[in-house]
Amino acid sequence: MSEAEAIERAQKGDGEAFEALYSLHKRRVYSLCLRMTGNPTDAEDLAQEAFLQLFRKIATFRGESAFSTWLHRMTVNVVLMQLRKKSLPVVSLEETTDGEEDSPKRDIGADDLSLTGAIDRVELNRAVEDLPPGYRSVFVLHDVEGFEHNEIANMVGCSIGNSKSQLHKARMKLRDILKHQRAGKAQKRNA
Amino acid sequence: MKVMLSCKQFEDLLPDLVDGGEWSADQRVHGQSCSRCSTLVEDLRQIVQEAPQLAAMDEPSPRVWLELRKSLVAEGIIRPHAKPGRLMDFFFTPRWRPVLVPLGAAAALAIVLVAHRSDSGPVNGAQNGAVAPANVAALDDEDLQLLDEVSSKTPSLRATYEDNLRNANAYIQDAKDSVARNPDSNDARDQLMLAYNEKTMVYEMAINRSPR
Amino acid sequence: MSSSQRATQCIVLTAAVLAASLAAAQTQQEKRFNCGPRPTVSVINEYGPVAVHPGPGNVVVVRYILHSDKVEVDLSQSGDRITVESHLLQGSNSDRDQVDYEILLPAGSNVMVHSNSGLLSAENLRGDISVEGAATPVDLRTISEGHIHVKTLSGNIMLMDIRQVHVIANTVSGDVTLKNVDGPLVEVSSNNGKIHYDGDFGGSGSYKLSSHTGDIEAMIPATASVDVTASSDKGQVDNDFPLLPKQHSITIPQKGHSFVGIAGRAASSVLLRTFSGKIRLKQR
Repeated sequence: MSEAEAIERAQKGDGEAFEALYSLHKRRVYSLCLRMTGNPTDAEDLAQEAFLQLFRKIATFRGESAFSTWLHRMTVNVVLMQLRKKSLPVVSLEETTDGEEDSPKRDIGADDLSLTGAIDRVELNRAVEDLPPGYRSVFVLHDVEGFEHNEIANMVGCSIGNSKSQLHKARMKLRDILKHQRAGKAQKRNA
Repeated sequence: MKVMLSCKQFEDLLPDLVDGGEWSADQRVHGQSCSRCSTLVEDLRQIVQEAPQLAAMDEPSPRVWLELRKSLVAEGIIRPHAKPGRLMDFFFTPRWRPVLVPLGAAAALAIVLVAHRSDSGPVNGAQNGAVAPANVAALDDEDLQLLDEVSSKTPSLRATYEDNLRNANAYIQDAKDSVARNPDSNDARDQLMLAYNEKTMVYEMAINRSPR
Repeated sequence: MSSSQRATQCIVLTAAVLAASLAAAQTQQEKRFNCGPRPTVSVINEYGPVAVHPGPGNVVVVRYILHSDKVEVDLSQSGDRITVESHLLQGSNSDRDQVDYEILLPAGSNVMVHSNSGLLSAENLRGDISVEGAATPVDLRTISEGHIHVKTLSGNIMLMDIRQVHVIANTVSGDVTLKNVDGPLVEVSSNNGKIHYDGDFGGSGSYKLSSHTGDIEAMIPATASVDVTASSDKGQVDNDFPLLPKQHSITIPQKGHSFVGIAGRAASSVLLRTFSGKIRLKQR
């Protein structure tokens, strides 16, 4: 069943069509929830809620934008609402974050090992899990999910500048985490 | 004398560079002469390049769809298709658990209804000529609900129940066709009763296995 | 000590440690209940085999092995009613968290057994037996008197040496094998599994073997005393047993699709019926 056909049938209440739409998009939705919350159980609940909210409104979908974009935004809104309810930091609202989050320190002049070799997604996934929540959100929304800074700023309620600076810090922090992970592995191998 | 960019100044301009922005002449000079900064750019670009791979990396457990489906059915967003001549509709409502009709009465009523219907013409299955192949008969909404229940209690048995529900439905379909072709045949009616008994057995086994 | 000797020692030590760990992971327990000569014993297992045998005296002995700490067993007694029930705890997995049961009880006990997986077996009993399992094979042997009820979805059913017992055995996709089974009423059905009967249809009983698409084969001795009707809507029906024609019959014989006939004094009535499977009646 194609997505267009599934949408049409779902609009008529066809259970199989809903299941087809769910199957097509479940990984993307769930992964987004998981990256943003860091908790599989919360992520599943949020994924379910996102699909439910979307399916409740499916009769109003007219095809002006891609279905996946619609679902994507719905998911982000659901996750952000949940994070706000729990008073978890979504994106730090301060432009400067010295001391607020675990800002990466750049040691100018010291020996700086590069990330030798390609990064694989498992490695990167693990590093993202270790990111502080505020950094994690903006990195996931921009680099993983592809939202632009103006969209992130709108969704999250911060300035575009803040979104950009947090993203940079998130990437730098990820680099540090990846280096430490690799150094740790190398130590174990040599032990 | 032109002052070269420092590493700090270079880093302040990094976000644009990593996101594919144009390098200015100063940035290019610093990047070429400073291995630390050029390595940093390369590392950050790798991270950015790999990040989209995380987008659909994980799979939710089956529980998510099961719960979602329950909500969709409960809210009437999933609407059961109306199919005339479905005798199981007579016996099973969405809340079938408390109202499951005793085996003998259900099967007996099925025979009477089919006999009555066959007196006035063939049943829908024969009319449509749509006979499901023996091992791929469709599942109706009650079947799917039952499977949801089974999945929520014993997920490892879902496939077993699904396969056997399909088998039972195929038997019912064949038996109905047989009655339609031979309305006076006691044997055909017996077969239909056996077929319904079989499906009832599957339902009973699933219901009885739900936690008390 | 040479390096190969050292290596051997290491392997032996590792194996010993592994064996000890495995043993520790499985917990073996036994519980006894005093009872009358005909207690009712129910065993409700989520996953794992259940074997039931007669034991000495008026005692029910429940022996069980827990394969993990994610499953617990509740045992209770109320008069002559003993209930054994497994419960899966949170985080359990069907493959690992099973309980193996061995039940010893008075031969006249009434037994009810359920499991979702694992062989369910009983032998040498005289009471009523009810066995139910989704994907479980069932094996009942040397049972006399009483009633046997078996239900499976896809588990195969084996009934052997079942004498003068009222038998109802239903499966959807399992095979059913009956060897030396007789009684006042024997009803067996399978949707697409095979049904094989090897016996004499004795006891002046009523025998019904039915299927949807599964084949039915019956092997009987020349001395069998039967009134046989066999029919298949769409499958092939073959008779290799010398039957005499029946004077009055509802079923009109149709070559290749049905036959009727009697042998001996026609003491037992035998109905072999399938929708599209094959039927074969053979002489042993």
